[in-house]
Amino acid sequence: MGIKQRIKTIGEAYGKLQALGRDPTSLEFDSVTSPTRGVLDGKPVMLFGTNNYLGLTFDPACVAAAAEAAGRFGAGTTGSRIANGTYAGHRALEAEIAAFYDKRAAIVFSTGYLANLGVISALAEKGDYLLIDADSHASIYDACKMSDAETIRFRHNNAEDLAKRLARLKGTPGDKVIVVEGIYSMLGDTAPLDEIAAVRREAGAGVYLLVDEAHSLGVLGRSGRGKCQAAGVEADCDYIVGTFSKSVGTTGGYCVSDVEGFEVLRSYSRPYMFTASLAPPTVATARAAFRRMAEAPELRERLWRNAQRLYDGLAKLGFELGPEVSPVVAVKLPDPASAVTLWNVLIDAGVYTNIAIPPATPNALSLLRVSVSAAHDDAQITRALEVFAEAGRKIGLPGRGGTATASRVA
Amino acid sequence: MIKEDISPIQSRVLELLRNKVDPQRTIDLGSNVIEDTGLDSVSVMDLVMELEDEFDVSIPLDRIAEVRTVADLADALEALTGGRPATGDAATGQGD
Repeated sequence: MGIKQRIKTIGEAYGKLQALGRDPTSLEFDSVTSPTRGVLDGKPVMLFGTNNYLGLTFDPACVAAAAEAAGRFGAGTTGSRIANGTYAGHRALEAEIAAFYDKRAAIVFSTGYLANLGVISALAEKGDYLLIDADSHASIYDACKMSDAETIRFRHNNAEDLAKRLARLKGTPGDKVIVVEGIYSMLGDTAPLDEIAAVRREAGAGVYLLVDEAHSLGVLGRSGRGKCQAAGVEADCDYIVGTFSKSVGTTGGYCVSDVEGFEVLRSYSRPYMFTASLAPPTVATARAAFRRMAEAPELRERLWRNAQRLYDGLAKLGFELGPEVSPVVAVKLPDPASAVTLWNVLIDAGVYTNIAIPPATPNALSLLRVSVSAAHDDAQITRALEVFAEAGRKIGLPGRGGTATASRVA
Repeated sequence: MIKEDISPIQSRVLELLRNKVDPQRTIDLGSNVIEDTGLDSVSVMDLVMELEDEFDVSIPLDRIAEVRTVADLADALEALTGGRPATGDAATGQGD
């Protein structure tokens, strides 16, 4: 397919969705004024699609840290750590993240996407194997493409299928790296990490486990470390990857590990070496946010209370939802057109959510991804549920001859 | 791409695929697994996983990405089963 044909094909596919209202791919906010409020096309909206789980984007300590760092250390580093050097802030942030996880070392990357790219592509080389959950995020798939290792998919959240595929590789030379996520971003379901960790343990030497906690950092676990902590299997998680762009409220990514020699990655991981390092205000924000996460566990409690209320409320309205209560509440819809229609009607009524349609979704589901924050107050959740009820009535969802339950169950 | 002698693996792939697509469609070894079947990529991946179970192999993602036709898919399976006779293994099946 040439450039012109690609433009035409993609244009036609999106044209159909644009005909139903706003273009989900080029939405513009006039302003975002708090973790839960923004203005879209001149219309105030409540934000229910931000992944801003702890609401730290406007946390006074985080904002002050960013301003102070910009004044003291400048607006940017203008280059990579290999070329322009590591700043004291980078080192301090890495030490603090390692301490937060009680792991030997942490490496910081410029985004969460780059963290997966940088770690996965560097861990597995030609002759090695990457065993990834079929519902993995695009950054994991892209990382596998970048690696010269062979990539094998196993059925989503199916430890038995993983074990079967590992067994097929028994006696084959090369390391095997299992890659899973703590919370899967589309449906909000969590990985059965206790089972997956057991598979890794039984498989023995040369088999490693990497867990991407992008959506579970600050959300799960006694001290907010994520699903590995919640499942009590941190010792089995050789590499934990995460992002600053959800609970941490800024941008960036990281990987922590106890594996000896882990930091050698700095010398050969291309996504670490050949991109600009995090700017001082971003580093300072992330450091402040990790401190806030540790000192304010009530944010996590509030997040879960909000998640439970929203999930229960939407279930009561008859919407078909993701399999478990989570800060990501996935509303399943029969087809992309009804998802886009509902999404537009909700925005008209002042509720912003994320739309997720094939091919970005598992099992070709059409979804509205509704994410809650600790920063939502009770009145906002109540209002969002009212808006969902009105919007549902307006377009005949759910319960229109059972169409809302016609979609495939994950 | 169409070979005169259909191997047991090719035959099994055709059989599984024909069970999944609209009977109006003619599926042969030269058929494109997406364009000529009317299946979406998710259904094709499901089929691949069924075949992997049945033949007790894992097809690496880069090999799957190269698959265009039914014959390509059968070739990928042939290569991984190491040319061992497919009929016996295929008949026992490992699917759930």
